[in-house]
Amino acid sequence: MKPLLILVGADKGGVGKTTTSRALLDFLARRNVLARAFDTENPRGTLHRFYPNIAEIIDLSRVRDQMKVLDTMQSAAVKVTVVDLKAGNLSSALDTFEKIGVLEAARSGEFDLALFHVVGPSIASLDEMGEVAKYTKGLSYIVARNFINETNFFEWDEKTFKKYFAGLSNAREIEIPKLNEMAYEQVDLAGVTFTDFIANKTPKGQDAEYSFVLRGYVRKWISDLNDEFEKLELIKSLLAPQQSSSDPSESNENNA
Amino acid sequence: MTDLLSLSGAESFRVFDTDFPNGDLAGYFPASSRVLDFSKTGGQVEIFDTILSETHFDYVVDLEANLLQGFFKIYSDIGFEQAAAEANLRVSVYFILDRKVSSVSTALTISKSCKHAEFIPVRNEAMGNILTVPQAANVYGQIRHHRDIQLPRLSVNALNYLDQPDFSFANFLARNGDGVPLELKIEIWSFLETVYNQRQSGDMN
Repeated sequence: MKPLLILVGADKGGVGKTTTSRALLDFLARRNVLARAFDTENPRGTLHRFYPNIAEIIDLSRVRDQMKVLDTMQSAAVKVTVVDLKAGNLSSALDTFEKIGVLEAARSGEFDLALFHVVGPSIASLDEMGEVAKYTKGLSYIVARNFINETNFFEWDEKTFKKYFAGLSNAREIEIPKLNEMAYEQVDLAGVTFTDFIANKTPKGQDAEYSFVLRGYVRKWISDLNDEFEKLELIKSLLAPQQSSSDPSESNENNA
Repeated sequence: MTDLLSLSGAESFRVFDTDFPNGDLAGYFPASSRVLDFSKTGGQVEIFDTILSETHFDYVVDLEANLLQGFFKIYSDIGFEQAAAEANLRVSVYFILDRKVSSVSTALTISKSCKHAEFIPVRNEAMGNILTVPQAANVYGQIRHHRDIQLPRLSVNALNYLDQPDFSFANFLARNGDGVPLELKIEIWSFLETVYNQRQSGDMN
């Protein structure tokens, strides 16, 4: 299987980027796809708190940590790497990756690279899409519209979004549905994965006493999210490894 | 319904009254009731989690009309039916129809969202018979229901008597209607007999 590098990022903070990374790692685990993760929220490491066994905290501005991610992709037993980019660092990370040849290597097929760009309710989020477009040619570019922590009025309407989106020939779109706020808080408080919360398990795997209603909310949310992830060609290929080695240009998300 | 449960003792049942903050029903059963705001997640947790964790009680959930669709969406989304079945809980939904066709349509929608519950449309004679409207009768025929209940029309005097804060059907039955004016006693007795006979008849099916 060809290594797959998934970047999850946004140039604006508070749009639910780490939640998207968590949801993605949860999805992969449920589908028995082994993944490793790098958390660039240095030094705090939000993602690491939920996935202490597979997520490592790194500082992507340090060469040593860039090597830790990029130079190990071919040799690592686990072929899927998820990098949760620090809030506000999307453009700079892509710029760095472009300069050191990472994006070009992905375009030439050495490995697959997908960018999950999490956008929130502000116009600034839409502007980001235009800004990162120059980096995403030939790569899987997924715009994740995040409704999970929708507390503000959306500054843009559907028509405005489609206008921005139409300018990105290779972009695919998913929606991260809204999750009940109390359910979200409880998962956060419990410090467990969404899957473990549904299964009523503590971080140590013991039986927990989470609310049935809140677990139900998370279960429904996960189910809706599964549908969103599964409609992506990238995910379809990942779940059907025999097809993943085919020409990447056949993928709908690689048609730039 | 709640009075019927109360005949087994105040400790055998619990009432969740969603008429927040008034709690009209809770006013009749203060010791066994909680008035809660179902539009808030905390209220939802209180109802469903309590029912599933304290299964030795019978429960009455009195739903405000504006909460009906939201309640059954959550009921369905969180998988309450399956959890209730695993806890050996029987769920019955009594849906009170009013005089609009939309009420029958809502009953159809609700009956579909609680597939494994016993669904019982309740028609109140005082509201008229919506089923004389062909469109309503057609929709009504599509509702999966185990039986239906018809509430006999009550006189204004009887309704006023029942609305007294200290009135209780259970006490009325226990005291054999003593102290109630004879005319009302006969009317209420007849009302209860008609309603409970329909219920018992359904239970035996």
